[in-house]
Parts: sequence; structure tokens; C-alpha cells
Amino acid sequence: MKKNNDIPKDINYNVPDDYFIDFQERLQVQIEFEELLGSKRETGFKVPDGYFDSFANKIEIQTKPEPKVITLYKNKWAYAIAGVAAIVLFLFLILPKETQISFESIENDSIAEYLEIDNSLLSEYDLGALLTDEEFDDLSNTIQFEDSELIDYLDITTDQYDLMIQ
Amino acid sequence: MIDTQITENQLLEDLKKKPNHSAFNILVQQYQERLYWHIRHMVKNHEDTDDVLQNVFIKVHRSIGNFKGDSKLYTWLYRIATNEALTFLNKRAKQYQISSEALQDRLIDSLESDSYFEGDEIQLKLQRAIQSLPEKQQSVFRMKYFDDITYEQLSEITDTSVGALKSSYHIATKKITEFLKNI
Repeated sequence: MKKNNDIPKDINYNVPDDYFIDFQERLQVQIEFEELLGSKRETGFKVPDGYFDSFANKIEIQTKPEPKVITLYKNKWAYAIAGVAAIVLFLFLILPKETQISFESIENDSIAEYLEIDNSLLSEYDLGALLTDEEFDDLSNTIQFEDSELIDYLDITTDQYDLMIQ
Repeated sequence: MIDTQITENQLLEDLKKKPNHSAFNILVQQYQERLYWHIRHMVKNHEDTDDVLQNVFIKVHRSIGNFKGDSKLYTWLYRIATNEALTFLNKRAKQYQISSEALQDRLIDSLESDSYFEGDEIQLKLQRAIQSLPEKQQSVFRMKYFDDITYEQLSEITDTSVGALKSSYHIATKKITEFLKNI
């Protein structure tokens, strides 16, 4: 038998021990398989046109890091205040509205207290300027001062030096 | 498809950097078709395959930082894709309250009216023949026959010896041939 000179002499080719035992059987199976299905490995599955062209973009959108959201209401106080405000607003909306308060129904003491404490922009002179001369006379007649009260008032509000000049 | 194919090591290196958008985009483009067909042969329907494939890449994106490189990248990707497809099929079977085998029958039946299946009678029969195999043989047959994966790669993916895989593929082919001859 002629020697095959194409095989390098320094390489030993080995095959598994049982390789040739079932070779024919394996070959037969492959031949039958290909006879039934053909050599082309077609499956019949299709994909929509351009599917793979757009798939990477679809994944890119889904894996994009979401922009950081800064929470406006970070602390619990903000939540508490917002809650109370909501309750107040709710009560304001559902409670029956009171009828308008007439000026006459307000106690004189309440008006005096308001003018004295809350409305610091109005001085006694401003108030006096709002009255006509007749109203002022009426007021003088209705209000009776004790002498001691008058002396105390003058003592507090009047400078001694001014009195001496007058 | 991108023109420049970069090496797996270079790609992995780029994927570990932050931001890795462009490297991840290359990964998707390099593997999308292979993984698509791998999943499609398991779940059959295009829409479901699309959902599973998206989940695969989203999971890969989330965990690429933890990939230690103990296995090759494609091996890792195929494993994730296989697991995702199996999870999907199990969920679907539970949802319909049927067995996995019954679900496969149903999926193959629906191929006849699927606008994205243009297979002929023999291709439909092939699907039924594959479905009649034990799960492991199905998986080996699909990856070898349809995905054209080498035995060495299959060995890494399935963690099975090349000899056992060759034997499994041979038995699967024989059973399918018998199935097709007898119907």
C-alpha cells in the first residue's frame, strides 16, 4: 500500500476507541434525516421587516438611566404642614358659611381692643380727625373723667418743660 | 449589523466602564440575532420572543458589572436567554393551568395561523417531533441544528461533556427521523 505523504510524520492521529463501531449507523441516521428534511436548515420562522435594525434602539431606551428626581417634600414637617393645610381647606369648603357680621353686632369693647392693640397705625389724633365737631362735643359730654384720672393722664403724656413754657 | 466586530475581551472591558452605553449597544447588536433565534425556537411566537429577548438584555445590562468572566460572554448570554425563555414558558403554562408539554402542543398548533410562520408541512412536523423529545435532548438538538453551535460551545453552555452531547444529538436525530417516518 502506498504511503500517504500528506500526513506529517511527527503527529500521531488518534480516534476514539469506539468511533468506527457505530459510524455506519450514525451516518445512516443523518442520511435519512436529511432525506426527510433536506440539507437546508430552514425553520419557517420569520421576523417583521427591520426588526433587528430597531431592536438595539428599543433596548437603549429601556436601559437609559432615569433622570434624578429631586423631591420637593423631603422632610416630615413639610408633609405635616401640607396635611394641616389640606384639612383647613377641606373644612373651609365643607362648613356652612356664616352670614355677614354687621358692624352693630360687634361689642364696643372688641372694637376698642382692636383699635388699641391691633391697629397700631391709627393714633388718637387720627381717630379724632375722623369725628366732626358735633360728634366730638357729644363725645365730651358722654365721657366723664375723674379729676385724679385727668391729672394722671397729663402727668404721663405731658412734658413739665412744655407746661412751663405755656 | 455593525461593521466592526470587536473582541470579546475588549467588549467586556468597555462594558465594565461607566458609562457603557456604546459598549452595551455593540453587545446588543452582536448577539441580538443569535439570542433571538435561540429563544424563538423555544417559545415559537415572535411577540413572546421579543418580550423575552428584551428581558434578557435588560437583565444583562443590570448584571454586567457582576460578570466575573468565569465563563465566556456568549456562554453567559445563552444561559440567561435559556433561563428567561424557560421561566416565560413555565409562567405561561401556570397561567393556562396546563402542563409544559400541553403548552408546547398549543404553541405548535398556533403556528398554523401565525403570520410570522411560513413553514411547510414538514417543518411543522419537525416542531412536533422535537417537542416529543425529553427536554435536555430538545435543547441540545435545537442549539446544534438550528443555532449551529459547536459541540465545544454547547459543552460550555450546558456544562456537559462533548461526548455526551454528541450522543444526545445523535439519539435526538434518530428519534426525530423515526417520528417523521411514522406520521
